[in-house]
Amino acid sequence: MLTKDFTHSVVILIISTIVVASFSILVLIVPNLVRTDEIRATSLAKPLTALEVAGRDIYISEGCHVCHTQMVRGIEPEIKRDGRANKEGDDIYEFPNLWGSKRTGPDLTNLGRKYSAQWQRLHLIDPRQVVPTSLMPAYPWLFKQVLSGDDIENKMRVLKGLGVPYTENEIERSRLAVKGVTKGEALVHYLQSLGNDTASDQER
Amino acid sequence: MSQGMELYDVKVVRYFIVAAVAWSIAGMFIGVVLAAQLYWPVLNFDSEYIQFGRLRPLHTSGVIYGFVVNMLMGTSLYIVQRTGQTKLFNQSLSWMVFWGWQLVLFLALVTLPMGYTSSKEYAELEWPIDLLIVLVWVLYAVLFFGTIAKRKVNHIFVANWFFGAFIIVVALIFILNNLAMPVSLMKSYSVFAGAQDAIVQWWWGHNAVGFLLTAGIIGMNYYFIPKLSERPIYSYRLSVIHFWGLVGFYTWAGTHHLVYSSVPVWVQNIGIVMSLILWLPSWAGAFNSAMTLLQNKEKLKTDYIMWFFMSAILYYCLATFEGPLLAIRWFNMVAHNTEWIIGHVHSAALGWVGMSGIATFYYFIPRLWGKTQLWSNRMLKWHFWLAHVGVALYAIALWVAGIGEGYMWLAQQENGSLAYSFVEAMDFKAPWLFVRFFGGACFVLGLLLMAFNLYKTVSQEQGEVADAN
Repeated sequence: MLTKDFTHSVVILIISTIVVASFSILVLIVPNLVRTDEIRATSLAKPLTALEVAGRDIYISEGCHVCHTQMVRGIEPEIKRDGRANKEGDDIYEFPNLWGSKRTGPDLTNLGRKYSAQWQRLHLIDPRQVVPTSLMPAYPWLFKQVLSGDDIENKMRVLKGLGVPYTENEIERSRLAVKGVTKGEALVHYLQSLGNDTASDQER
Repeated sequence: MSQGMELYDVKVVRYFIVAAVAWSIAGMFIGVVLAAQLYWPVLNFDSEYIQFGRLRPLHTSGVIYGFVVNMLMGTSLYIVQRTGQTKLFNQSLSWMVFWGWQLVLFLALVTLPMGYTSSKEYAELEWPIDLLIVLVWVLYAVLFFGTIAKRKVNHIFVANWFFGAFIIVVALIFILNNLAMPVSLMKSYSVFAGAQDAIVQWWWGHNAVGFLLTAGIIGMNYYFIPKLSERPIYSYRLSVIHFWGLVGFYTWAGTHHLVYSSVPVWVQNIGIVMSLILWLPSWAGAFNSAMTLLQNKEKLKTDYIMWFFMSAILYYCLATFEGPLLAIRWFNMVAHNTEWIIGHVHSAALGWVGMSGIATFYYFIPRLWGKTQLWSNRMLKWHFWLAHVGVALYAIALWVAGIGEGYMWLAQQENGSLAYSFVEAMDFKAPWLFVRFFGGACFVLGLLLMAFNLYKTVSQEQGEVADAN
């Protein structure tokens, strides 16, 4: 068998491909995955409240991340436009990351410090009322559908298991905080939270 | 000699190829709808289910998992039989793979518009569907490698190395990227957070391109291009270099999506350097395929299927030139998050993957049904020009839109204030988004011509081909 190569042995083809393709896991992926404590040490991030978690899941479900990034890059014009640049520790409670890959609409990293909740509501119900040439879809149904809150305790528990420091008390009260709120209101709560935890770290 | 058919399992291959044609049209039609929504937002119809944010993952999944994976599964199962002179390792396994994969696609079609998504780009499906994908993929791997193992030919043909790498690496990266904690049947959270999640995400995101849309398609082409040009592969040595170049360097390149982001700089730099290195094996492989076609210049003069393959190779050169360029910091600063990236992806997806697929369909489908010639060569020519006008308009429109908005985002006045608002950049690119919509529509119109032409070809009465190759 050792006299053969990958063009003559299916076993060698499989093994050599796995080995050669896997170097990047060892060099790139594993060292980054074990750095959790190091990243946390410098973090200013605060966990989302139950209502904000519900809002974030609506953000994901509607695909907002498809058009909006949450990654201000460390480049002067970007910081001028969108506020403080992201740091590695900012996103330690972001399961999964919502950095996005395309800026069809503006970056939302520090959105919470820019507009009022009322503006957000109007904008979600009819974007062209506030930005005449906006391309964004209107989301009127979000303000008609009401959250039951049935799954929020599970969500909080899973997030706690992944490392978000929620207390038992917070988890038990989460359903009450969410139940009966419209999807739109929850989403606005989430949007209004963006960037507030790092506000004390503004570049001077 | 219709015996050629009975020596191999062909029926399941036919099913895969029909599914691939259907999904190529469906997936790209949804793409045209999305392009239209970006020009006429009213086309979102204030509907929960067809608004841009939910349709977009259906477009990418439809094209990647529907069109490309069906096509690669079908052609790989055919090629592995032909090049090994043996039937499939297990026939019922092949049907499990076929119907299993169609179930995955059906579930994607239902769940993505309903808003069930993990948000991970090109891997949006929720965890139960991910488990089904892994199961089907393992069965596919067993079927493919099992068939190689029982081959009657000593040598493993080049195409099968690339298919093998595509099957193995996609499995590795898919599983790692989709590790998640379930909350309920249709909701889960990634086990990775923030910057770590982004690194894993783009390790998957770029290698789905590298191994699904590149290695898999190369495997397919290394069989069909020599068949079509009736000449052997130009250089065996180059194909070995091409193979190990891709397998060795591609999985490193994904972090070029994170340049200037908050991940550590050394991680960004690996992505940049490896992207530049990839240039070499890519162009070596492209040269190899182009020379294989050019060995038969007589046929190249008249055969539009050859032209489709030649165009695909040229678009591969363009995209693999543009990719490393975009990874370089200075270009990345301008291009990141702009329409340019979408244009880059589509010049590869429509130009390289799409035209390879089209050429394969035109060459393969008549033979798969035992027909000697296409129903209409004139329609094939029309398709060729429609496809080219489509991709060219698409790419040019998004170069202009992307570079324009990239500069407008960065431009500063002398006093340091920003020169343009975000809305001004949006308004600048609006007409170009219309051109993009028009280009995409041309491309889909071409596909419809193809489907009609191929349908007429396989349903007409005519002499059978001597050998189903």
